[in-house]
Amino acid sequence: MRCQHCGEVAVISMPQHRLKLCEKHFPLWVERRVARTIESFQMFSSDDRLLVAVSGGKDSLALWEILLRLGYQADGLYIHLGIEHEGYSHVSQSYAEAFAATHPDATLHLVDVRARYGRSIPELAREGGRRACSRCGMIKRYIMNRTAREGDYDAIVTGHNLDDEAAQLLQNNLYWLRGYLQRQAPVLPQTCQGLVRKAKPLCLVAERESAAYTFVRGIEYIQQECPHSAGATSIFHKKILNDMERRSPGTKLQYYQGFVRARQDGFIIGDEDTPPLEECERCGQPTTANALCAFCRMLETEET
Amino acid sequence: MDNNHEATLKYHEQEWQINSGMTIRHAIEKVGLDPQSVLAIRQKKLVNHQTIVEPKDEILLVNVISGG
Repeated sequence: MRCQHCGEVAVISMPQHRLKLCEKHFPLWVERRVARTIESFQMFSSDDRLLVAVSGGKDSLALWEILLRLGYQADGLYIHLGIEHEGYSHVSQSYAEAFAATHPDATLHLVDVRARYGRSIPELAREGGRRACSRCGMIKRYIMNRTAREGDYDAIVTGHNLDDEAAQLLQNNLYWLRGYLQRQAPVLPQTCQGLVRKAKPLCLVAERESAAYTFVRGIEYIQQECPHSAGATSIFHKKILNDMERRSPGTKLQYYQGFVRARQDGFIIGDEDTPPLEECERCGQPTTANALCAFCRMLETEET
Repeated sequence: MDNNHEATLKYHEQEWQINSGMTIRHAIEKVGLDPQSVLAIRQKKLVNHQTIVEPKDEILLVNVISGG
């Protein structure tokens, strides 16, 4: 199997693009694809300061590398969740730090949830009788927005890839979660003061392309899965979509891009009566709730 | 086939002895994995799934599906 650009041995075949590329041309292709995605969705400009949410995993580190190579001012944010199973949080932090150490122009911000808020994510979830993943998502969104505001960043960027987005779309479609469908987008603009724009520049890069990119670029990442993700519905949905992809290459891309176009054309109507965003009385972060945001309510409830 | 013609496929804690001469894709399918969900690494290099497995090869399969 040969590279379609230069005839060298190809390292990857991407049937959905009818493309086979070698280790030199594949990473360049990924970087160009991300650059085009940023441009076509007007995610951010070259003057913007970006905060990359890094987990130590393949997608976020690949994204950080790509943004730096494309010349963006991109700093990282690692949130230490306090997941102690097999040292998961410590190990993933070490990968984020190792990456940052080789990129001296970029800063890595570290937020330790337990050190700052008194309890780790698993502890907060246990106290509230919730699943760790639901607490984790809410807490990470809060910390990302707060860190971006405090650091005067123009946009938060996350490493959600095509498979993540297609699996999320399948989940939202299956249960017709209109509010989630309306909010699922490659870029979420700043809709009110204090809510920082969010973008997903890898949304058109497949998960295996993102993983292959890290190998070819020599980026070390944590291969261990979050212990709380065992049996996650998103993995089940990804496997279903991969079955469809094998039978019909390009299915995931068409599914997601079709949705994005439909959303842009106004075919997706969210929940009616979405309340306007206001400032949380305690922390000043935007919230749809009266008085306290979900994060401050969680801390208050679990303090009592 | 004698052991000299066998190769090794590794995935997490699992390990399989496979015959050389087939493609990596065929080998992945033969051990019951989905080729879409893994990358193949040989001698620390990414290799495509159409690569022919050579005798004594050690091929590491890396999961690419993450959840959460």
